[in-house]
This record gives sequence, structure tokens and C-alpha cells, in this order.
Amino acid sequence: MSDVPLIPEHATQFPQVKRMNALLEWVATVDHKQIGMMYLFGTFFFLLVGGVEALLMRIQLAQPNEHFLSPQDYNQLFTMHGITMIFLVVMPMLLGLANYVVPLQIGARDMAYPRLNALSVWMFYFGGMILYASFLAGGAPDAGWFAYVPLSTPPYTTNVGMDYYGIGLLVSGIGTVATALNLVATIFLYRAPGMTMRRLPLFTWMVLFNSFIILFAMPALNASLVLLLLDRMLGAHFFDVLAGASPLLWQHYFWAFGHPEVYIMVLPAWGIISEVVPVYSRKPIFGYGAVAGSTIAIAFLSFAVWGHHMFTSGMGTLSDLLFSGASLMIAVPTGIKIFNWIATAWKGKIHFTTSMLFALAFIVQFTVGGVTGVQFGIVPFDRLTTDTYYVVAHFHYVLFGGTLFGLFAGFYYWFPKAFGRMLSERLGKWNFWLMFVGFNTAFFVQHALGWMGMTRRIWTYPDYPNWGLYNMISTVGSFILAAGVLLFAYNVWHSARHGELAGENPWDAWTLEWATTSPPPHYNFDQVPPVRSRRPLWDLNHPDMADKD
Amino acid sequence: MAYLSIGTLLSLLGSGVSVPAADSNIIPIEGYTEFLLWASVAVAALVGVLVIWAIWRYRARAGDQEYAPQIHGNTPLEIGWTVAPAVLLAVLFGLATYFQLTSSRSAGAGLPKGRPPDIIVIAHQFWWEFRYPKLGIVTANEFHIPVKQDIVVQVESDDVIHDLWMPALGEKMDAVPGQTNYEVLYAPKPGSYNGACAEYCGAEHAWMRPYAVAQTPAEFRRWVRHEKTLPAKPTSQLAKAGEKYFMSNTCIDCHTIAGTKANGRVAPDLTHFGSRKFIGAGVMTNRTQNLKAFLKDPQAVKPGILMPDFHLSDQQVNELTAYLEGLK
Amino acid sequence: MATTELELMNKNKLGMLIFLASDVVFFAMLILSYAYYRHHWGTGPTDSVLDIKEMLPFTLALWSSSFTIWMSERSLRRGSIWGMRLWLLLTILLGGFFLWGEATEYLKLYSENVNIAAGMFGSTFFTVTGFHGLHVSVGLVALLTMFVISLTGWVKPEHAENYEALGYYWHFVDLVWVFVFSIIYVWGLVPQ
Repeated sequence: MSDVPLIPEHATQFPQVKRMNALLEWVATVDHKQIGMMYLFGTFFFLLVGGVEALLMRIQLAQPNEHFLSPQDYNQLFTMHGITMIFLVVMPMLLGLANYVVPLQIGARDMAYPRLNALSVWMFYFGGMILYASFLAGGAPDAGWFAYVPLSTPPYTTNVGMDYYGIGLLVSGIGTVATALNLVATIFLYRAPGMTMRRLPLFTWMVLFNSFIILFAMPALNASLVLLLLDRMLGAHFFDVLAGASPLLWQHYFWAFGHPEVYIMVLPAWGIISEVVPVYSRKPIFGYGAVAGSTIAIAFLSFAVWGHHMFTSGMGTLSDLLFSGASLMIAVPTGIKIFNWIATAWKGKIHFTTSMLFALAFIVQFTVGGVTGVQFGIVPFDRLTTDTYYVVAHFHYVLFGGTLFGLFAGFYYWFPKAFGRMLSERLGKWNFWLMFVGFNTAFFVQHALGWMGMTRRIWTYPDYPNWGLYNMISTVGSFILAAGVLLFAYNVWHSARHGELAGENPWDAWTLEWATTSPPPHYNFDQVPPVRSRRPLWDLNHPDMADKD
Repeated sequence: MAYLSIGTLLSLLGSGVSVPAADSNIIPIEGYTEFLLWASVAVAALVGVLVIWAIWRYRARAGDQEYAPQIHGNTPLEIGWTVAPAVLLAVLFGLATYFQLTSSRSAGAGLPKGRPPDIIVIAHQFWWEFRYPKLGIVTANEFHIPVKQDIVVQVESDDVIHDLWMPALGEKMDAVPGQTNYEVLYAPKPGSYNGACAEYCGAEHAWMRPYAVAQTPAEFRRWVRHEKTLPAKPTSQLAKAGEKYFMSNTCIDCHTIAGTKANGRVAPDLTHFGSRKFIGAGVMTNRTQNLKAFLKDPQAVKPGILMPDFHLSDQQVNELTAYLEGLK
Repeated sequence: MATTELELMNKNKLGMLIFLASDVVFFAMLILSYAYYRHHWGTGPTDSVLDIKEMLPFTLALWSSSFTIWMSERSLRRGSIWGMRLWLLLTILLGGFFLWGEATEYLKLYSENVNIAAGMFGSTFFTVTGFHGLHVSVGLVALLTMFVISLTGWVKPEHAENYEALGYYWHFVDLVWVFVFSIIYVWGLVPQ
């Protein structure tokens, strides 16, 4: 072991709001760590907002023929819930974490374009504000996050919500592209000496390919939104059936973005799992090449599978089968990752920190969402189950049981680095178990509900056998889940001030972000350790058994 | 056999689903579907068991700060878990594709050659129009089919995208404006079957529920004869007043009643309204009190329905109710 | 791996390349919508309202500006600030000439009641050419800024690499016009 420095006095990293000009220091910052924090706090706020929207819907659905909400309210809520969770929570939360971690992991001082980075985070905030301003302007978007035409165009929409949808998403979408550009350039240009592409930490690797997907998928959304806005505001006819338009054009354009988006929302989470599982198993990642290589395959394939959202739209048999085949193929590189993570834990010495618990739950829950995903890739099966609660269960297993659990694993893992103090493990265990039980209670029964014929996006339902019971179970679960999320907020608030001091490397981890103080100084590193393999800190501490590459 | 295993499967899920009974809205599990579900359960269970085993077997003992053996990978093993899922997926793809291409009950785009539609369904916000081109009858929201026959349904839309889905009877298909799709319904036994609109279509997407009655061929023929006859003329004073009100107001611009001057196609055909089970595409059962409440203020019963509140007096509501209930 | 080249690349040039790669998708979607709806013009106006001969000089002007900006970059690299300014001015004039041509075409079409709300042709034509025009305008603003800065004497030969990043953008805008011009004007010569 190299000489471990004494745990330093806790340093304050971020401008404290109590100070006079601290607010200006936040607003004007171009520091990647502060910008990452701005992303994370903003997205956590929106997570709570989107969560409240979900709870309101769950109350409405708790029993049949309920009149707690009107259909108009319900439709705005489910639309905003989807938009919020996708565009204002999951995607920017991952980008925020990447913003904080990637420059540290590659031994850089900051992002390649710090001012562009500041612009991006503000675009995210402004996009979110525009979307939510719709509530004050006469009604939120109510045509679903997928905004299928012609429902999303006049005369079928009755309020201005969809205009706010188009403009808000354009603003935040351009910010997202800028962040992706920034991350790619940072990873290409600012790696520490010795850190070749093949030695990139897996989180950074996944963020890199995630950024590529963003760069090529977001413009498809931006173009679609432009066309929709031109139709709505200037009387253009892109989606006007009477003028000869085909409603399927919107679906192709939207899902050409929409399905890569699904991978945008999961790749960095895979990266988190690939960092967390090895560290707490006290073993290196099993098959770095396979995990990294399968990510490339997924990045490419993600652009060839959008049609599986359209198996009931009448695309034609040939398209159906091509998209079906491509969709099934993507399960292979995904399966590789799952088995490699298990093999990483296999023969390890597993430490059950909160972070590791979230990561292990991720593996199982993501697999459940994955196998149902494979089912939706099969045309006749999709035509039975699509647009039912079976789909709702499926993608919540992927996005909540998967990505958000992965993010929580990441929060518990990196919080000590960012705040210099440990999150409370005691609260963390409560946090985990509440979320684990709540999540599975809320969403597992929805598989059965879908199978029993319950369609999505309905504001209420008739009193069919067992529907009321299962929905009530789901509602109870959603409140347990919400309690878990709130407990996390309390844990952060409490531990940021009273947590144990962390020191540089509390987990004895191996990547470069753990080779500087916690929290890191403004310029990140006094001196970047030499990088001769994928685990520079392992080599430093175990020169006798250093990795061969 | 199929239901035995779905029973086992769903009881695993802690569910009480049993064999579809009357009013069924449950997806049947048979053939490749069953295989697919079991394969999925097996894969998920394998991962679950491996993770739990690893957790138990390889947990660090208290105070153990040692490293585990530093294993970086195992290429043959990794090739194994690349190839095995690929083979399984290829089998699934082959099975499903074979089913899709050979089954007489696959849905799709455009009508298959040599299979003229038995029913043309036109979706509207928020109700279903069923037209039987070979039989010359029209009905709304509730439709009848003979059992043990493939019923080819052509699916169209009059406004936004909808989707006709009868979970127990077959695949679903979108009703896309400017396009025709088709799906095939098959009722294995007589009974009634609940359906839904499966593509989000606006405010009252929830209450756009088609209702199918599957009958023996003889019963079905009797129903067709009944649908072809004009409804009886009202006899009671109340019903006659209701007819007069109906015919002299805007009702006729949207609704059709065969044999009268009411021939609107914006709203459901009411020719045999009295013999239907539901009001408002499923929102209520067709009983006198419910119908009165509906006519009094449709927006209160089915918020977002395109039928406005006409502020009818109680007397007018009673008259119209008497008239409409007599349309059998 | 080819990453060693990327590692040594000027950060502005790399950033511009990444942005343009992303922008390709945006334009591809717009141009695709034009091509797809070419068979769905219905009763509205069609591409017969366009005249390729009128647009040709402006098109050639835009394309030749790719050469002039390259000359401008070359001058800067070789240390000739005056050459850089001169070729840059020429580029700006050619770009401006193109925009003026586009504007006159728009005005002519408006006078014939062909606008973005006029059928499927109007919607797709104005969207594709409009977004291209927007890109040209943004490029012109950047070029003008560059020109003004060059007059202050702050631009030095060591800035040549950064200047080339702007050149990439300008070449891209010209390249997009190759596709737009082919699909809208040249394809328009083929009767439907």
C-alpha cells in the first residue's frame, strides 16, 4: 500500500448560499462539478414533481370508476409525468452525473468547452420552465409524450399545451446535444497521459457511446418538433391527413429518436453498474472487452429498432419482420453485460453497501424489464400486449427498476467524493428496502393487469374482476416507493452536514476520481497518478500485482 | 393444458386470473405465446437465482478486508453466454414469424387477398361504428359475431388514431386515418367479450369500450334478422313526445335511427339502442335511471364526450328516455 | 487506433465536426420529408412554380464561396492578414448574394400565394430551404464577426486552426445546398 494520507479537514467545495455573492457564483459558474450538481439538484426536484404527478394518477386509479381527477386533468398528468421523467429527470440526471464524474475519471481539469457546458445546464432549466409554464398558460400538454398526430394538432388539441411541449423540448434538446458534444470532445482530447481509449473506465466508455447516440438521435426529435410546431403555429401540412399527409410519418420520425432515447436513458446506468459491482466485489470487471464492445453493438443497433413501437400501426409485414429481427438481436449484447456483471460478483468478496444493494437489484429488475422487452420485439406477441399495463410494467422495470436504481447506486458511490462525507448507511438501507419493496409492489402486478386487458392511458376503468384489487396494490406500492425516495432526500440533507468524513478513497476504488481530495479542488488534481492499466489506483497500491492492461 | 399452465404462471405472479368466463377481457395463452412466456420466466429466474446465489455464497465475512482473486475474464465462458441467448432468440423469432406468416388470424396492413371484410369498424372520438358490408347492417359499440369462425375486421378511423382491441378474441390493430388495417377476431365459445380502445385518442380514451357478443350461428342469424327490421314505432304518449322532440332538434344531425329522418354519422347509430347493454361506449349499463342521468348532462357522466349538455328539462329527459328505450 | 489524431486535433475543429455530424441528421429528416411528400402534393401548388434557371446563379455563388473561404484560410496560414480579409470579404459577398437570391424567390412565391401553408409542397419547400437559409444567415453573422475582428488586428496566423473550424461550417452549409438543390430543383426537372 502506498502511504495513505490522513483524512483531511473537511473542505467546503461549493459556494455556500449564505455568502453574499454565492448565488452569482452558482449562476455564472463554468466548473463542471458545480454544473453537474446543478443538473443533479434540478433533476431531483423534477423527480419529485414527476413523482407527485404519478401519485395523483395512482390515487385516481386506486379503484374503479373513481372521480378524484377529471379525464382532462389525468391526461395532462400522464403526459407531463412521461415528459418530466424522460426529458427532465432520467436523461439530464445521467448527463449531470457524467458532467461531474467523467472529467475526474479521465484525469482532466474540466470539460472541453466549459462555457458551452454552462449554456447546456441553463437550456435544461429553461426547457423545464417552459414546459411547466404551460400549466399557467391554459393547460399542460395532453397528447402524450409521444404526441401522436393528428391528436397533437388542431383541431384535436384544445389548449396551447402542445406548443409548450414543442418549444420546451427543443430548448432542452439543443442543450442535450451540446452536452453530448462536450463530453465526446472532452473524452477525446483531455484524457490523462497513458489513458488510451481501451483503458477508459467503463462509466466513461458508456457515456462516450451514449453521447454518440444523443448526437444522432436528438436531431431527429428536434426535426420532428419543428415540423409539429410549423403545423400548429404556421398552418403547415406535414401531418394534415386531408392534405395527403400520413400519420405514420410522425411515428417513424418520433421513434427514430424515441428508441435510441431508450438506450440514452440506460447506457450510463450500465456504466455505473460496471463501476460499482467490481469495487464492492473486490474483483476487476469480468470481461472488460465484452462489456465495452457490446456497448458499441448496442449503439449501432439502437438506430435500427424503432419500428417495434409500430407493430400495430400497419407498416407492412416486411418492415414488421426486419424491425422484429433487429430488436431481438439487441438482446444479445444486453445479455452479455448482465452475465458479465454476475461473473464479476462471482467468487468475489461482496460488501453489501447501499450502493451495491441498488446495483444488485438493478441486475435482477433490469433483466425482468429486458425479457419483457424481448417479448415486445415479437410481432404477434406485441399485438397482444402493446398499449396495455404490460408495457407500463415493462418500461418501469427498465427505467425505474433499472436506470433509477443504477443512479441511486451511483449516488451512494460518488456522494462521498462530491461532498467529502459519507451518506448514512443506516438510512441508506431503509432507503433501499423501501424503494425495492415499493417498486416491485407497484409495478409487478401491472404485468398481470395488462394481461387481464387493462389498457394504458385510461383515466378510469370499469369494475372488472380483480382490476380494483391489483390497482390498489399498485397504488400502495407507489406510496412506499415515494417514501423511499423522500428518505434519500433526507439522507442527503443530513449526511452532507453530519456524515462521516470520507477521505480521498473511502471504497478503496481504482479509478482516477478517487486520487484527489473529497471534494476535489476547483482544478481537480494536484497531480494525476500514472495510468498504465484500467485500474491506475490498483497499480499504485499493489505494484507487485499490477494489472497487465 | 394451456390454461393449466397460465394458471400456474399467474398464481406465481400472485394473481387470481382463471379461465376466461363470460365478459372476458383476458388474453388467452396458447401456442408460441406460452412458450415465449415460459422462456422469459426461465431467463429471468436464471439471472435471479445466480444473483442470489452469488450474494449468499460470495458475501464478505465481517471484517474481511482481503481482495478476491483478480480474475479478468474467461473468453470461452463469455462466448457461451453470447451464443446461447442468440440461439434462443433465433428460435423465438422463427416460431413467432412462422406463426405470423401462417396463422389465418394474424392482423396486418391492408386486407389480405380473397378475404373481404366481414365487419368494417370505423373509430370515432369516442365510440365505435360497426358496419357489416355483407349483411347490410350498422351498429355502434356493441357488435355480434358467430362463434368458431375467423371474422375479418377492417379497421378505419374518422378522426385521430384509435385501436380496436378485444383481448380474448385476437390481436389488436390501430385505426389510422387515411389508411385501412385489418385484424381477425375468433370467439372459441359463445359469450360476451369486453374490449377497449388501445391507442390513446383524447379525453375519453377510457370510455371507448367495444362490447362483443359471440353467438351460435342460429342465434347470430336471428340477431341479424332483428337488426334488419326497423324498430317499433313508439306507442306511449311519453315515447311519442320523445320521438317528436328528437326529430325536431339537432339530435338528427349526429345520430341515425333507421326508418326516420335522423341520419347523422357523427355519433352512434341508435336504431336498436334499446337492446344494447351499455350507454356511452361502456360508461354505464343501459338502465332507465342511467339513461336519464346521461341525457340530463352527458358531460357529467362522460366528461369530454363530444355530445354537449343540452340543458334538457326533466320532462324532456323522461320523453327521450321512453323513446330511446323503445328502440329495440 | 485513429484516436491519436483526434487527441491532437484542435478543440474547436473537433467540436465543429461533432456538431455538423449531428446537424446532418436534422437536415436529412427535413429533406426526407420533402422527398417523401413529393408524391402527396394533392391539389396545392407543385414544384412547377420554381425556376431552376433563376436559382442557378445564386447557387453557383454559394458554391464558389467554399473556394473563397478556403483561400482566406490559406492566406491566414501563410501569414497574409490582408489576403485573409480580402477573400473573407468576397465570401461574405457571395453568401449575401445567395441569401438575396433566396429572398427574391420567396417574395416572388409569396406574390403567387405560395407560402408555408399552401399545401404539402409549400410546407416542405419552405421548411427545407428556410432552415438552410437560416444556417447560411448564422454563418454570415459569424463570418462578418470574424471580418470585424480581423480589422482590429487581433487575428494572427496562429489562429488559423480556429478559423478553419468556421470554414468547416461554411463548407457544410454549401454541401447541404448540393442536396437541397438536387432534390428540389434538379429533381423538379423530372416530370412527376
